[in-house]
Amino acid sequence: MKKYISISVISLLAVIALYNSVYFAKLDAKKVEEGIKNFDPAEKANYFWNNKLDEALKSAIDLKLFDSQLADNPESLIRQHGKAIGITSTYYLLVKGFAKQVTPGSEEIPVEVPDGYANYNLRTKYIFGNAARDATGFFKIDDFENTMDFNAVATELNKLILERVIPRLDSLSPGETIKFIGALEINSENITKQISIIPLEIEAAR
Amino acid sequence: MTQKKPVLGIINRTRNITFIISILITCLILSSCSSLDKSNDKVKKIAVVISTLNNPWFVVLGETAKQRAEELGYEVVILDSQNNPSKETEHFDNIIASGFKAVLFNPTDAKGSVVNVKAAQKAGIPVFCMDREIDANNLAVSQILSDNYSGCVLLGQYFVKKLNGKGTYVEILGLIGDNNTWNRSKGFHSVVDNYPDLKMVAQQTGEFDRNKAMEVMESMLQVHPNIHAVFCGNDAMAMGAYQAVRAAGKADKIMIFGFDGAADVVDAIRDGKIEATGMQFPKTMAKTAAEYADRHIKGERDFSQKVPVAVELVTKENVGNYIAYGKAN
Repeated sequence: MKKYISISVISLLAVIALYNSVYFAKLDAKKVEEGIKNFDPAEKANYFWNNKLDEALKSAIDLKLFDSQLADNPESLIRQHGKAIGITSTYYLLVKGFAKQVTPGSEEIPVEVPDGYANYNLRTKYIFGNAARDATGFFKIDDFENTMDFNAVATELNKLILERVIPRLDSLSPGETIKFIGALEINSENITKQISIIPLEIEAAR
Repeated sequence: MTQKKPVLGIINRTRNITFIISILITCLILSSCSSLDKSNDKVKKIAVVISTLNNPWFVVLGETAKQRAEELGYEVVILDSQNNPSKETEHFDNIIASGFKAVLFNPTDAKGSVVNVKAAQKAGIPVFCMDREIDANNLAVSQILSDNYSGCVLLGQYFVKKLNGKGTYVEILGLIGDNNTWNRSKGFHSVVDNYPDLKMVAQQTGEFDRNKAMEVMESMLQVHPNIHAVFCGNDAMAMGAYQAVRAAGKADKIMIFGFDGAADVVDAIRDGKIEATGMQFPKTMAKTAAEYADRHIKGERDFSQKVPVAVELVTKENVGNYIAYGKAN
């Protein structure tokens, strides 16, 4: 009898000790519970695009004005409108202007600035780099846990341009006038006369 | 009774003398401790912890940080982690125990090194990361890093231009746990993957090591003898890949692209052996880290968490503007 009582007591103590010490839970649920969430660059880029882009584009300067300031006083142009991150001579700016549609599907559309200092083209096929991310000044590197996340947002923004902006050109016939707002980069130590613009907004200028 | 009084007097006098001597010794000890503190205040120590000194690029990073910190008046010790996180932890344990005022840190692993920076922060020792980052905000005071992604966007564009947008290639990655590895690879692919006629047929790690990359390249060439190019995550691996390609008699058929701006690769670009590299500026990063540490020790607290340093494309066309690890002028 004593033996059974001892076994029962030991078993009860063992059950109490082991209760809830091992259990199974879904990893995703646990992460949410603990506030750990995988960074989603697409979500970040979409939020910006849907909620902040229009406001950001208001700071774009006229391409003619950009061109004349680039010729006359690039330091002042960069000081007033350029955005940069870290130790660099590369600056990003937002510009707006007009161009004429060429054959749909072309790699780029030339942008004419009468008596312009530099040559410009609107990139319409291969979209890469950080211009779209950095020209608006919305994204701050210190808000990101690491640079990979920060760079992933640049990639996602470029995808959004390919998905939402470039296809608008398909409905335009060659020769039609396009109104655009875009991002460009210049290097203060090596200002070239061939400048590419990444379009952030395109519409027919009717 | 009368006989005992002188004895007691002698004992009391002895006690008084002992007491006075004790006070004098205590004062002497306190005074010497205080002068020791003053001497420590005079020469503050900074530790420079480098992931590996087995790569000349990191030697330049470490030596420049040391030199700049010494110029600013600090006593500096360089510690080599030998690409080993445990070794790195040992260094941090010693740094925390030895009264260093700051650490200029080149981590071995973005995630694995977080614990060391956390320990230093807990001990009140500010850490400034150089070139390699840790996956955490608000632990290191500041992280001064190459803008690897943008640098490889430039390299990717040049790669496409040299291959006319078509051909097959292989990629030799750096250390899998290092963010620089992926920032470089992703920057490169953000451009190159837009061109469907450019096909990557193999991708393997060379661990940022010349010999390892040479072995990897040798095996890749056995499986893919007709590739047109190889993209390497650093210059040491580019040189290893070049050795393998040359040994296979294909040096004039396979284009090699690196990243770093190391001395031998700058020379190799000039000689037409390697096509291009991304020039990082280790001296700028190291000097900035040392200057930030000095300003922090002097009381400044307003630092950006991450400071990217621009990378420039070096090709045969502009190699005259560059020397190893920086610009020519």
